[in-house]
Amino acid sequence: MLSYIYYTAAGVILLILLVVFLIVFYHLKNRKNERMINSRREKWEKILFQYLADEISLEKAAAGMNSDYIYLYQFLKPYIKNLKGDNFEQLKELTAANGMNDYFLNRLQTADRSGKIRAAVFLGKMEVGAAVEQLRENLNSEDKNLQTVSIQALADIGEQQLFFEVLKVMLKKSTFTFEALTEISIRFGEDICPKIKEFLEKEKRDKRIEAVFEVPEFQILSLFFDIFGYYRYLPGLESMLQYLDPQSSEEVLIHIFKALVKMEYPIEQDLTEFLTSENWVIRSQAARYLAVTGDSKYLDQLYELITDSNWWVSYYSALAVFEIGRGEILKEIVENDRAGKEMSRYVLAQNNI
Amino acid sequence: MDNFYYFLLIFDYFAVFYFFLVNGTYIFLNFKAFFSIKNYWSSIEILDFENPFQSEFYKPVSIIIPAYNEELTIVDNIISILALKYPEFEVVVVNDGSKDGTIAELKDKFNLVESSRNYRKDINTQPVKMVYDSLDYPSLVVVDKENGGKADALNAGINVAQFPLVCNVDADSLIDDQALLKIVEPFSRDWRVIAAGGTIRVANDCDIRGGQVKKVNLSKKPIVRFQVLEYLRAFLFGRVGWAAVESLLIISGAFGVFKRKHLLKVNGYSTKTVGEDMELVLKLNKHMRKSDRDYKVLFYPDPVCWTQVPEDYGTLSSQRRRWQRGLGQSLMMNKELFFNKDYGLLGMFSYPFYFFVELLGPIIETLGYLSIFLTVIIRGGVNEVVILFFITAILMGVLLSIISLFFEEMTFHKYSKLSDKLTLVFYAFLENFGYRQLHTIWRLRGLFDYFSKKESWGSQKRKRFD
Amino acid sequence: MTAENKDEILIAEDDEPISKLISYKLQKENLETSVVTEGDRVIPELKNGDYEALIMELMLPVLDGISILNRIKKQDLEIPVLILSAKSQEKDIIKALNQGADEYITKPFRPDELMLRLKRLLGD
Repeated sequence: MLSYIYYTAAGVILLILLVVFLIVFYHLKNRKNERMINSRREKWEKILFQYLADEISLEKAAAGMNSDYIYLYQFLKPYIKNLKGDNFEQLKELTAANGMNDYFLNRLQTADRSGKIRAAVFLGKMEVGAAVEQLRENLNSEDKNLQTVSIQALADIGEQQLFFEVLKVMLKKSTFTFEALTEISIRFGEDICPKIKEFLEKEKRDKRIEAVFEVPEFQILSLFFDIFGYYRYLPGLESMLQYLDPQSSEEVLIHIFKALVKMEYPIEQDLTEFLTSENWVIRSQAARYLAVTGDSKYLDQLYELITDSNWWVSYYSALAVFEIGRGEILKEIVENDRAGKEMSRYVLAQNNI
Repeated sequence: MDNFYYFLLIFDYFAVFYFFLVNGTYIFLNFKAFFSIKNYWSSIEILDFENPFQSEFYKPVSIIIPAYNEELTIVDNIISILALKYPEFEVVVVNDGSKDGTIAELKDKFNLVESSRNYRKDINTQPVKMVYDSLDYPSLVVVDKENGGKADALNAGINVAQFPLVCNVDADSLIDDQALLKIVEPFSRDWRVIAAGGTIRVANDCDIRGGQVKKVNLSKKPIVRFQVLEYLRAFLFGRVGWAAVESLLIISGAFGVFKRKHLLKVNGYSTKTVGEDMELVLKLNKHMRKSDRDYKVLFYPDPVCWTQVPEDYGTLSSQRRRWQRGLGQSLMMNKELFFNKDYGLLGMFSYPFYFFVELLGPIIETLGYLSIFLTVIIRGGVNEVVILFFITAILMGVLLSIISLFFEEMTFHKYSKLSDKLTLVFYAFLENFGYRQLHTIWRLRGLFDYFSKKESWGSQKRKRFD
Repeated sequence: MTAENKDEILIAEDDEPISKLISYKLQKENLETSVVTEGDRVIPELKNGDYEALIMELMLPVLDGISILNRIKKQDLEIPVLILSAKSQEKDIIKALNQGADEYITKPFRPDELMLRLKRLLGD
């Protein structure tokens, strides 16, 4: 029995020594790697700069940067991230010509988990259309990270055909926050707006919005209207205004007003009921919208709202009064020490008065 | 005499089993942590964490910094926190009734004026004397209040904070400038995340500029070197490991991010314990489990927060005593978790583990050493169980430390010189022949402090934050 | 005044690949460049050297760009400032311009556009 114990002790000691050895081994290996990468970097940087300055041709650049693709990707990352326009197009041409796209396309299919993820990110950033097929399959992957990254890649590539499909996946199977959802949707590009408009017109008629996405209607509408607002998509105004009704869900109303604020487009519809809504967010966003359009029709109501109990409602109403061109009303409040003078003073100060 | 010897042997075997369990579990957690970190490396690809600057959809953050008697360093610390890279955040400094010139320094250097901010006192705190805005730094807010201790100061900060995410930072923590971007990212992407903590690294003797650790050096002081190992083993890989099995009980007060609404729901930090950061996470877990909603508490392994650790044994021992006391208090305040199925792994595994190993461990360990020592004396030599003890208590401890070093090499490799790594290897051995035992004694004393209720509940209002 | 009579531009950017790329492009346009990577080095460097323009990222370590703009204004350092920053929200742009920046380009950026706007600043 005792001998087994001694053997165990020896075993543990050996294990310890093995790990120490591994530490040293990996240290040396990593060092060697680093040196190699650094020398490559220097070489690559020279070629890249010359290429981006049109001093050498695409062929020459591709020939000089066609190895160690994984490190090459790390090297190119800051440029991919920071450049747009012609130089970015040059980068795309480069990765197409030097074999990187093919390499990562392959890895998307055959690499291990983290390899696939990196490949998907690369292909998305370089907007490689050939990857769409496989990325689409990945939408149904069990691996959440792979699914996420495939969604983002499809958005970056701008594969608008798949927008609705991706949206369904995001709503049903992911744990994305609303903001993340909107963010990704927007990355698909402006051209999804007409598609959304079309969809709304068609499905609303048939009352199928909820059925299509299997989530409450107000979530979909809020998302769509955020997208309209972001792109200031005026043709979508009509569809949006159909929902501008006190009966509509509060979420939807809030997002409609947020979109209207961005669009800065005056509308005919009467907003009184919204200015007096029980929900302060609606009141404040409606007031904010009026601050943007400067519609004098609501002056009296806005005046009342300056003394609203909610800070934001009060602020936007005072701001709206100012933007309508009636700053003197605010001055009058301050001078006569009336209720709402704090806010009036604040808004006047903000506008350097 | 025979009976006594027999009893000793039984306890010896029990001690062997205990050490095997403890070191074995931590080795397991280290492995779990390692794979979790590898996973994290690949997920870092998908974290487009610079994106918040281009998008409108980031979540603004309120950074809360409790301060007590920090007149010498508070201004510099705040300036470096103001330079953090994040699209929108505010810094709420809470002066907890400092006796020195902290508030005077703040008023002077930041051009403070009375704030018009309206806020609700959702959590009860000691009276707030005044809230200030800074004319030079619009995102800075200073809360001047009467002394109430760190937890109380944090709560006051939470009350004043206006953003949905709250980040608690110690005044002397050094935060990497991309830290907020990284640690807030999961909140923006995944709705289940309610809290995220970061790992703490040892800043002693590192090159520091503008509140940033520019170059990592290994201190020459043995006491610091021991702590470096400890932080790697327990605070990095240990915690990542716990998080990986969904049982994280502690998010360090030095750097953590929470959703404000949940903080309000559990009524903020408890002023009844010196381990308020741990108690908070326990409370949050309890609350979320009851609500039956899916949730995540994350632990962020990337070194983004650095702190100066004690360099003398006096300060270090009182720190560890205090931690042990805080541990006892926090666990007791949440004892319904103990072996409670309703709380899943948290209740069935990590809480009991913390209770028996982290809390009561020092008693068992000390008795174990004593028992073995007596066994050797009585027997006049070494027998099986003593060797087994040596294997499980000492050798496995060494193995654990060395494995942590290996994983550090494979992940963050912050200590780049080979000589530093070999030094740490040497200390990994050394650690188990003195330091850990000393640490056990400190924890034991902390446990006695707790049991003797050194300070009554009522006067837990600590004046210093140590 | 340098011996070759070339204009010198100060680049305040902590992302090295980018600062190098910009330097390269500027050199092709016959401009000299210097780079600082930390916010608190910008003003001392401006005072020390003789720069015709400053290209600056707002998010610099140690001291941020807005504070730097503030100090440039306070100290009456008359130098054209072109901001090149990842911060692309309208309010960030307005804030910087109000603090004295002359031009603002958001990242991701077109190097050609950078050159064009820089030349315009220098031409003044």
